Amino acid sequence: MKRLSTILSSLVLAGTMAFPAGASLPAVPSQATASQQDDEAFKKERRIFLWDVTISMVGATASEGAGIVKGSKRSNPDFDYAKSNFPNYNKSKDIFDETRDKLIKMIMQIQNESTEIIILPFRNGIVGEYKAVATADGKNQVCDYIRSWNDLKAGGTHTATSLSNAVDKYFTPDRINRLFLLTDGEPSDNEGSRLLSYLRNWKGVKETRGSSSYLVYVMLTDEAYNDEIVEIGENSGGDITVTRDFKEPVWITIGHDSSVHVRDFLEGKVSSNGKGTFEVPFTFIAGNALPANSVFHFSVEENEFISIDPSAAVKASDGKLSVPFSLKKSSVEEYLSSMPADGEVVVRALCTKDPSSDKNLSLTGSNAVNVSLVIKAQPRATISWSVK
Amino acid sequence: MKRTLVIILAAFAALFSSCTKEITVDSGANFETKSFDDFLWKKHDPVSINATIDTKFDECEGISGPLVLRLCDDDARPIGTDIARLYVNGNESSDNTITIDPKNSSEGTDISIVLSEDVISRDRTFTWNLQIVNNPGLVKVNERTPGSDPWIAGTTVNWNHNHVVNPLRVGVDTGLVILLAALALVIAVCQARIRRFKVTTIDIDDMADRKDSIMISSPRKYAKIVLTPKPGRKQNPIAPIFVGKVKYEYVEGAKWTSDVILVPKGRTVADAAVSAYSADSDYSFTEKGESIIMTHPNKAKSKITW
Repeated sequence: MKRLSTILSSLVLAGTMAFPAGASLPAVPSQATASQQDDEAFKKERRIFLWDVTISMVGATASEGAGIVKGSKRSNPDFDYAKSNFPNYNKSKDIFDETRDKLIKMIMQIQNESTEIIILPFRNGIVGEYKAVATADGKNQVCDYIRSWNDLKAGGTHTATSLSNAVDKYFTPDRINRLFLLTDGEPSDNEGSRLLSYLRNWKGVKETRGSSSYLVYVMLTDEAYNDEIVEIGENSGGDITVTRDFKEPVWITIGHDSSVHVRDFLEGKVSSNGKGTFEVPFTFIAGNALPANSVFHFSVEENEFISIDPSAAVKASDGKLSVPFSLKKSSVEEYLSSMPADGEVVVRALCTKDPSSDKNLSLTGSNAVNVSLVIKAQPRATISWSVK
Repeated sequence: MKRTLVIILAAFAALFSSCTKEITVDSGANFETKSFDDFLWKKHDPVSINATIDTKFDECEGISGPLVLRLCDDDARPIGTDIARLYVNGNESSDNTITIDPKNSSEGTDISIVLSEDVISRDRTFTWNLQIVNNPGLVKVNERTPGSDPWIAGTTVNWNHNHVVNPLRVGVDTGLVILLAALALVIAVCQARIRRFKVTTIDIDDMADRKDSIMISSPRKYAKIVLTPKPGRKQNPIAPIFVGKVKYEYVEGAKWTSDVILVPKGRTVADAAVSAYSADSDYSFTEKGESIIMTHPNKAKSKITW
């Protein structure tokens, strides 16, 4: 609570000083708050996989044309197309096995034993449920459930209904709730408009279901692609990650606290010209190595203390992003005269992925980092592990 | 033959499925260990990880006393010696704590964590963090105010421990399976090469005073009939697997001086012919249609008909 009040008072003070009338708003939106980020470092996680099991996932189709075989049967699952109202088979659209394998891989990559895993197959609603914790046994059981799923029926893709039901039933404020929605098609009927409306109101989900509520929307095929959903994702500040690439997903989440000790960069301990870097750690949600061409950018909200070049390329090293910055004032005295009495100001920086980075790479979760600017002497320690 | 092959393949499948992980995740900074049950002379080593706790203290001139840390789980419960024992710079810590003096600290503290025998008998994933037991007056640890958090943010480690099959056991099991497979193959080849009788009766007409019939109730069981002057002979019980079953028929009379062996001549059901031979070169055999005239060493004759 003490930390929370400190941050809040700092934000108020920083806000009054750093945002004079007419100052521009942050360039990149973020829904993150300081209290959320405080909590999140110590919350257990719940990963919910909302998995499209409509018949189209196995390439079943009512249409005819090149590459489509009439009445063909698929070896696994052994499925009679003729009885499904989708009498044809399109091999290029058959992504069921591939999706299932990726899902299993993602589950096996979960490192934390206390993470709760929930599998929810859906089509015209949620049609199954399997829950386990991410122990070795639990993960194997979940994977067995996924492997054995062979119930693919014709019917609508009721994405909005299934998503809202999953959120209502499983999202709780005490956990980091991360829902992975894997779908290959456009929602049926009015589900599309309902879905857009639901995603646009994700802030409402965070208010009612907990601040650590995140969605990773995986568009498995071109049919699932929707510009409006992509736009919602881009403007969600990391709450909704939208990706079309599910080949080798590398999804990371960044840490939300960093600091700059002003004296170090003005009095020669690190530098004397007010330039330096601060570090932002990251962890993997899916995948285990960043692609070589991974580049990020950081921008900082308008303030009078620190600037970050939003075009500067930020690369990763040893599990951390080193963000270059410049102090706006040239002496400690100037900072002392303009900073609050407790000597600490928190400014918010926002992280985005460079569009040229690997297409499989995505940021999930809040993209905001609280950067504390510290002026007074402060006994402090940095502690980390390294493998020998 | 088919059945034997299926059994061999099933044995291989069972062996390899029992010792192969579904997916191996190379998780970089995380720890991966393996253990196995002891088997014969191949014993498992203690399961441990070695790491360095890197510490960097700034502006700590005014504080006194050590920083004491310990391991805790996701519920902030300390990790006791019943789960793991902690060694700091080579010395066992009696209370599983790590003591670091901010004023006399080198940048790294070497630690080893050894898992208890009770927890290594199955696959586990441990998620542990560093927790502050004694704060000498640090205002910030890893950018956060100590005291309000259950553990130090950013110090979480994941340790995947896999309990696998003892490699010696895998070797022995594999060797046994290969041996069994080879044996099964030899047996199958031998069985396929064996010619079997297709007739149920073989008459032995001594041509002087008697005529005996040898009844073969299940002719396809037998690969050989031995007419022997020695009563009570029996085949070695393992031999039928490789050379087929032998039926010993005791024959009485002075003219029978050595074993006379009858074997099927053809492989097909239609070819029911029989041939005869003896290790004694004084015996001679003349085939005449569906009979063989056998001349004994004393020149007496017997006729074998099927």
